[in-house]
Amino acid sequence: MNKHIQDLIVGIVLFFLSLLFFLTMHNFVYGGYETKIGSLLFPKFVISLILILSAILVIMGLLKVIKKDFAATFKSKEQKLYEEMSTSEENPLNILIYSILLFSYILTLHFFGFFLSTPFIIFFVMLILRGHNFKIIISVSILLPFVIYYLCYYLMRIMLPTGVIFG
Amino acid sequence: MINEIFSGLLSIFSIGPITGILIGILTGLFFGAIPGLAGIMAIAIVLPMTFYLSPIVGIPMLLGVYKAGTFGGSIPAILIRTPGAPPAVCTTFDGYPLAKQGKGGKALHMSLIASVLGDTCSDLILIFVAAPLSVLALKAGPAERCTLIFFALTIVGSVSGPSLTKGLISCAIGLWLATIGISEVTGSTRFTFNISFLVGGISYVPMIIGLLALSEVIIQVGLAGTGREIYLKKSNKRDDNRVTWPEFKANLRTILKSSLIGTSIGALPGMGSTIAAFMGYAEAKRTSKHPEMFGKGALDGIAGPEAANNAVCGATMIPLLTLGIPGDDVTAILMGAFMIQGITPGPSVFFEHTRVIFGIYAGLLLCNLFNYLIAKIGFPVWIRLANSPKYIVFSIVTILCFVGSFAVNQSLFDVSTLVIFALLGYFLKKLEFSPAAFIIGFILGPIFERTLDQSLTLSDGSLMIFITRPVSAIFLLLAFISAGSLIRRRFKES
Repeated sequence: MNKHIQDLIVGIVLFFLSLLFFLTMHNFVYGGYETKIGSLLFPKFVISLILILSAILVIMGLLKVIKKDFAATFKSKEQKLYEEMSTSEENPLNILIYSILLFSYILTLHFFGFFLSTPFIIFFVMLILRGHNFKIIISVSILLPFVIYYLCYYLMRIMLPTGVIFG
Repeated sequence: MINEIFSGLLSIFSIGPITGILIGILTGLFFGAIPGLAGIMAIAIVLPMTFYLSPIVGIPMLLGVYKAGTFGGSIPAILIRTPGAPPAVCTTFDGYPLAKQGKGGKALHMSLIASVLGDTCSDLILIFVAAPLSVLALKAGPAERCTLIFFALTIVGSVSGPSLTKGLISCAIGLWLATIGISEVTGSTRFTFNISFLVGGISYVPMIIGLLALSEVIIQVGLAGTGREIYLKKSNKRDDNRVTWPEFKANLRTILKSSLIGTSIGALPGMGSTIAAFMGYAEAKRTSKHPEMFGKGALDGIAGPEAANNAVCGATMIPLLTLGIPGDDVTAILMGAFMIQGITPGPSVFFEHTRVIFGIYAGLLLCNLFNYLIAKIGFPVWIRLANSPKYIVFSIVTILCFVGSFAVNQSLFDVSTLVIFALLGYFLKKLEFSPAAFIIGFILGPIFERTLDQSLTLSDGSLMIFITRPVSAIFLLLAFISAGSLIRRRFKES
């Protein structure tokens, strides 16, 4: 996606989110005692700042989109190919799988604990990162949890999660 | 007081602090030497470990990571033309050509010597300047402190990246997130959305680790498989792998000059080591006897930027310790580390925690010595690390990020915070918003709010308090001048 269009969308989303939050802010404050200044002076100041800045971002993005997109309509084939190549360097599927792994690690930590879940996570993360030496992958996956567990337990007295199923 | 100072200086010479420094230096070098892992990432990961240690062990350990990480960034910069951190960019200009000539050892030695001398020079200035400055700073009231924080927030401009607006938005979001939890003034619970874990506010450590370390791993995962292999030749001549005495003498002037440049820049909040490195390089080239050699493997082209960027390390502690304002993203994390230890950086720290502060001073100097020795002995290891397989490194870092976040409160909610902020950090970087500005906002937010509330309570709600008090008015003026010059510079650049 064009960088300026990206900025425009981010600016619009931020603007409406902060506007909505500014208007409903008082609903999210509970308890406390009354003072002359109140609890919302600083948050109001900060959200107003975000509102103003996101409006600036929208205006700047809009100006740039009008200027650049007119030119982009007539962009050469080579230029479009170059832009596609430079953006396709990153593999979004890898990022998606890695993010799913991160969330599933939280769940497996909760249910199965550190010892059972960590080797699988290390194994899959290494595979996503194009690990090719299976001897290294398997030995690191098995040994690393033990090393970390003992360092945490004996050095810092931290009990890593044991999991609700086994704990 | 004198007894406290001496006892503080001597307290570092025991097994605990020395072990802490050794671990810090090794971690910094390890992270610095691997492209893609920066020193700041190492600090974020080591931070939770320091909670279980006394400040005299934990803080020097973090400083060790900072110093060694800053030097470590030059190892991949020289060997594989990939700066481990932005300040090491200038080192690639002359370091890599030397490595290609088979003189990688010489380049690494020059970088190490310059870094350690730059560090030492800046630490000595910190030791002799910070305490007297703090006496002046002690006279500040809430209005002065509030406008000072406002002035400090203008440093966001220099860590904003390509867009100032986006940097300011990042900072404002950080300021807002800092308001989540119980209000210090009224005691009310704000923006917790009925989530009990948020009553105490967002956990600082998982947030930092997520934004700085795990988000970087996400980026590296996205780039997996696009790496390149580089093979370097190595000269067998002894002189090609070390810095000779005449070479050292010839570069000493450049090192000292760059150290002073780095120290001056580090003492100004928001300037950062990247600017120092570029200025050190430019000055080295300007005063070199052989400017035509720059870019082809000039030793002073390595000495200049390396001395300057390492000299920033000690000097950034000057505004932190005297005024309680972090000069850059690393000192923002250090400020958090101090506060978690029950020490609030600021002018009174010299009187309330004399022993700890002078212990840290001695630790700074000891860090330099260990940095030199460990880096020199371990050169073959760092060289191998610079070429180590990414799949091992980043999978280990992933697990360390989780363990570090869990360790703080032993809570899985913190681990969720880590993942959420890692994804946020990834998108911030992708959309060119600045995570550093976000962190600065988050750290300074509570102090800003507290001092603002105190000032307005004193003045019965009138904003005139910031103008009628002379020091406060000066800080306000400085903030506007700083913001104005920043905007002007940005317009010129664009």
